[in-house]
Amino acid sequence: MKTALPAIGKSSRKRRETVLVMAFTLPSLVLFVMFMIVPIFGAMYLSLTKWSGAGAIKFIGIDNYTNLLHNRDFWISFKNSLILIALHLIFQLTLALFFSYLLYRTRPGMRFFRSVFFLPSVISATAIGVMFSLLFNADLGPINYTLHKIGLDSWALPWLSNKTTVLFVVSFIIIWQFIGYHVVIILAGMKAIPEEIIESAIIDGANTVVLFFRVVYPLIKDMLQVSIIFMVTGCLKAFDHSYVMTMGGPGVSSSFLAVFMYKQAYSRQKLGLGSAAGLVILLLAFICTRIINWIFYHKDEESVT
Amino acid sequence: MKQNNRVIKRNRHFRPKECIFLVLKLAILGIFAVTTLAPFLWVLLSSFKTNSEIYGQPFSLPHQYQIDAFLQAWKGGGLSQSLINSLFYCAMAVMLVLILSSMTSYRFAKIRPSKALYAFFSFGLLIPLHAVLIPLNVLYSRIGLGNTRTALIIAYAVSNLSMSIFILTAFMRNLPDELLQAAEIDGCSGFQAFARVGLPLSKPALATAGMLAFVNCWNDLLLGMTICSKANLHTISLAVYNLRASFSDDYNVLTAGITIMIIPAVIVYTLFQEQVIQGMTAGAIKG
Repeated sequence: MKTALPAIGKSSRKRRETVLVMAFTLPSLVLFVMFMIVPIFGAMYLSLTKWSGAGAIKFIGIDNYTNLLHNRDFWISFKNSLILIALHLIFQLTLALFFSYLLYRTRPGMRFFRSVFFLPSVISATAIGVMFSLLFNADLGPINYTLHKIGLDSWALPWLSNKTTVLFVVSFIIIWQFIGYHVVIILAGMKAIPEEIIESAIIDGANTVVLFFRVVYPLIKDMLQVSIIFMVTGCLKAFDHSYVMTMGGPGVSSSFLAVFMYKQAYSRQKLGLGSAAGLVILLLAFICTRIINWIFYHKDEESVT
Repeated sequence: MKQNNRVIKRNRHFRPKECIFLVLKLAILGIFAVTTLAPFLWVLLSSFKTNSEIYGQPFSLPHQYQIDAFLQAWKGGGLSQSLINSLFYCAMAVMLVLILSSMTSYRFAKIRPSKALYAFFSFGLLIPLHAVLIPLNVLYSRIGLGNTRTALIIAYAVSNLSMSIFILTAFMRNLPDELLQAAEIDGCSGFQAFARVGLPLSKPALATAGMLAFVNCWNDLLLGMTICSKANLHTISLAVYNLRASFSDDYNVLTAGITIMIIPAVIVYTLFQEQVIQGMTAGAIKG
């Protein structure tokens, strides 16, 4: 290697580098294209067809999409997903902000509480789903047991088979599981605020509430933006909890878009319609991300002027 | 940061009002910590109880710690097979994704950066799994990989590839060029410089990316359910899900199943807490 003549050395070095670049890129690229990019195009194609998984694939144009627009179950799942997003923004965001600020202002125990709060995010949604379906079971579950014990018999509802309660129970379990996740993200934003800014605000007489709204909040906007994007896209992908606890039921009362997609494709063998629903999820995730970025961008503009 | 804290503490005089506030704050945090942990504690305790004990006194400690439920879930529920399956899938997928992404990231960071190609890989971060799930399964059965371990491992690796490249490239960009050049001057080939110097220096980022991939694979339900439907290939998620059908009223077996499934994740979290948190929040928090 070292004995090669400079002129040859240069071109062979270049050639060897190219070989290395290829060897380092191609394996990832091939797998990524084959099992991520090709399937997206596959989904686009399938969404224009009628196919049960076996037999001939029939091309039907945009019929699947018009079918979705007239599908009652799709709209209920869509509405449920929107409710899930709204509940996340109302409860998960508020609680995550509250607890991260509380942690930020409470130095002792910060690391301990942070790791405890994050724990459920690491645990499988399947396990959490089964766990809460036991806890909320109408006859055997400890929650109704307790309600009966303290005399609130009328409160002991069949949580997961009641059409009005089921969506909220499933939603709040998802919210509960990932509060700690957002606490960690927002807390990281708060910790990045220079100490001097906080100190001088306190010296100027800012109390905890004023400090939050006037000093901390404007400085963690970037992190909030990320948190909100994760919340919304996470909601659009919500599947495990609902599927494990209720299979989206009773009927479709706790079905979300991803549950609808799965059921169309794998319980009803409508691969075309399922693919169309999958692409709708993809599209909504893009649109929501753009909207959130736009809102935060415009807020910044306003605060400047 | 730590130094700053110390300065503040030293300057701060002891005041009773602040003390009360501190206790109040800790109490609120404590209550939330309890609501976070209580359900898991209930599961753990119930798995050692008999069914009648769970129904009659759901919140009591077990009169006698019994492991029957664990044996039932382990043997009758098929958790033994699926636990081994999932450990195998996770280990292979984590290895595959780390090998692939470390090489590609090294290329982006140190050999020949390419904005376009990097953006192409980053595109994967935006794609929800759901959009590719159905065609992916169709593709697998077309190329003869339907219902195979290989198919699931590839799916796990590819679904974590973009994030892993994102984490590793960001880290490797900060590796000192001098060290890698010195290795090449000492006679290492480009590949040896990567394997002997670049990789060992990237251990923290490899741990972060690896932990993220492990947690994602271990907790996956959807991919495992659709790709590996044959009973002997089931993932742990699917086995725990199926327990509910076969042991619907046996709360002790179900809670034992949940406990078995949770333990590996909790062990990993306890041992590699910072890496797990860093990995899972890597898309949000830089550095």
